[in-house]
Amino acid sequence: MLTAYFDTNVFIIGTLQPESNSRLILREIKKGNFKVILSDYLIDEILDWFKINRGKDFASMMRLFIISLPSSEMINDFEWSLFIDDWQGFVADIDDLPHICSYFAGEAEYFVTANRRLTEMKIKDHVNFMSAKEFIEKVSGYDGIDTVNGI
Amino acid sequence: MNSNIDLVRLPAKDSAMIDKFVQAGEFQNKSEFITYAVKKAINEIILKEIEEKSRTTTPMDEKDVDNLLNEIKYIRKKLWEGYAHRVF
Repeated sequence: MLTAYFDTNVFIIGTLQPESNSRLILREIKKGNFKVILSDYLIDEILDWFKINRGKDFASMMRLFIISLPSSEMINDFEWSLFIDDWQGFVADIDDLPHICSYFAGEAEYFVTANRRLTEMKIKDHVNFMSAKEFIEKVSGYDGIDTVNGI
Repeated sequence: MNSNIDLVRLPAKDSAMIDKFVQAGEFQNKSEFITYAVKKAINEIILKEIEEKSRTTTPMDEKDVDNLLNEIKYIRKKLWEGYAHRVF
């Protein structure tokens, strides 16, 4: 089964923006057509953002949404931290490292993000980065929506 | 293992269909299929609720996306401080 890691921005934009490729991805995830790699770090980020910007109730709903993803695998800190030494030198911002390490620990094939800064780091030669629009078009195989940065 | 045992009454044809999926190797056993199906249903209901709550949101422009990425970056930095103590 195809495996992908979706950055925090995909979950947030997919939730907030009905007309977005990130929303199309959330719908694809719901179908269970591919395995979603999750990490404790990713979930903490998503929930923190929703707590701050949409309140506790919305954050709780997001928690339920994430834990109910039909085909997913959770990577915990004691697992992704095993990859830190290998990839630390390829990432300019150390706080991005848990996402990169979770991608490797989960053996993901795609890393979907709107974060262009991350995709321009040295790590780009080793990680298959793509925008939400590219994922919809290249992986899901149908036309994406024209949006800013392909979000 | 921490799990509940729930008795579910399934129509015979649905039960037979699940057995077929198990025999075909799609799922290890009936429990795995039912867990998958329940999660999928919960996920669908939640996503529908999320979609309803965000129905009137205006499209994000470049500045909105940048702001969002900066907000995430701020949270990420704070989170890393906590995680760094655990993983190093």
